[in-house]
Amino acid sequence: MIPYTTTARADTGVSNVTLGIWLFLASEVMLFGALFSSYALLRVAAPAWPSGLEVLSLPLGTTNTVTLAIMTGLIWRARSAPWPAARPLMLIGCALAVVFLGFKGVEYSAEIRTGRVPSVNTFFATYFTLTGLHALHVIGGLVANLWALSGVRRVGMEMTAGRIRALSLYWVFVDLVWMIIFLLFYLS
Amino acid sequence: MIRSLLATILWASASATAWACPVCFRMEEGPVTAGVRAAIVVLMTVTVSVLAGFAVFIRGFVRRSQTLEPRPPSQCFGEPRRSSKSGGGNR
Repeated sequence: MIPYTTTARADTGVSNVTLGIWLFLASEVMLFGALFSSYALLRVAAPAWPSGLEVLSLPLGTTNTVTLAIMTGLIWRARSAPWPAARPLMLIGCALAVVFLGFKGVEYSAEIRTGRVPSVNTFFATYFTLTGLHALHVIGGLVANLWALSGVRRVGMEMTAGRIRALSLYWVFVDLVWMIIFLLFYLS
Repeated sequence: MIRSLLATILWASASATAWACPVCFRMEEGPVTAGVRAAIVVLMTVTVSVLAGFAVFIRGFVRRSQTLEPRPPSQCFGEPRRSSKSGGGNR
């Protein structure tokens, strides 16, 4: 069994949790990389490709981009803040993740209501696949945030700080993926 | 050294057919071929970036190991240094 350590190991230079999250993020990069590769294939090979500016809601997409960027900034600040200051930052971050998911739900329902579903064309098939998988990552990050917040009494502040540091790296990744999705689908 | 040099010469002197990508070799030029090429470029970029990250990470390990004091074999697989808050077990 690998013991949980909060300090950097002499051999790796990082704590176990940091090493673990980097390995996890490497696997996530490969997962999204494969999907973006499929997107490139389908888009370049498609005889016609709709413009996201015409078929998607740019105001909602932009709002979600800003929401996620602010949320990531808050979690990034929480990683270096003392616990009394980190707690509200994490809570606001959770609230913004819920706001992001709410806007995404509104966007999805409007698209489905008007018949813009994955079976319509390749654009919507890739759009729903990528944004859906991304939304699942936001849900997972939200659950992890709440788990880290609720575990502070049980595991102590030092271990919670390690969890917040790992979560901040995760949220930066989730934000970067969203930026690419926003660029590929909403702005092109 | 000689073996790698020989392999490089052989690789460089091979005809274009030998370099052909097995995915799109002999495919007709068209949108699908262009799409496959774009997909390969994206996936190769992602894969090479991740592998480069691993290489940098492993290089850091090697450099760090050179600066560390060697430990007796009995301690090599023992538990690493723990902080005061370490809770035993994998969480």
